[in-house]
Amino acid sequence: MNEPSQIPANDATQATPSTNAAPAPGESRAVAFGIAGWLLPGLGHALQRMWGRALVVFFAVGLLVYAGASMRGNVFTRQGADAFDTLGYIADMGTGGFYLFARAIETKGADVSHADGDYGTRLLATAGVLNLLAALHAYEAARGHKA
Amino acid sequence: MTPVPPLELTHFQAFLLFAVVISVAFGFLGRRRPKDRVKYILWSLFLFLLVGIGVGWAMFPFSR
Repeated sequence: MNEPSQIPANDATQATPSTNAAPAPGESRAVAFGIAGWLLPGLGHALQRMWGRALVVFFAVGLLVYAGASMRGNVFTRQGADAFDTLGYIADMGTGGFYLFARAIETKGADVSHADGDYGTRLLATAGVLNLLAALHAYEAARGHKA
Repeated sequence: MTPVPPLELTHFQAFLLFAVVISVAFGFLGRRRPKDRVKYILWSLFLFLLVGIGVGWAMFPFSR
């Protein structure tokens, strides 16, 4: 069997743009916006003066967390019994600072023996994943890749 | 913090809350112009409701 040719068809394909070697100037700023957006929903957009998106993310995540916790959904902790608990914890931690809010208002603990508690668990996880998506959007927007 | 009263929603109300909040968030994150946002929100909400109710009806024969 013949060895595949090692000779590139075009020398230009070997050329690496110099911009790929160094990190983009605003990269650390974009990461900071993403982390800020995770810690406080909407903050990543607010720092970029995207007020509409900031408000919508803040209230959407806040409403889902409030509804989920007051429906006595399961706010997962680090001491998970299995992989699903760990996944739930990761999803809940996606709400950033609102995770503490959920823990604070759910004073009676979770009750997933009723349908309401089960719905609440889903709403809490949805809030976390939505906030992670929004934080990623803030990061991309800071890099100039906004929708 | 004072304990909040428990929130009791039917399955449809919880589903509607989810669909509305997610549609609005997706609309604002995914589109820039207000007209495009409204169109996206309405279309997304319609699809959420259509698929949710459709799947609910599809599962009905196996529910008992």
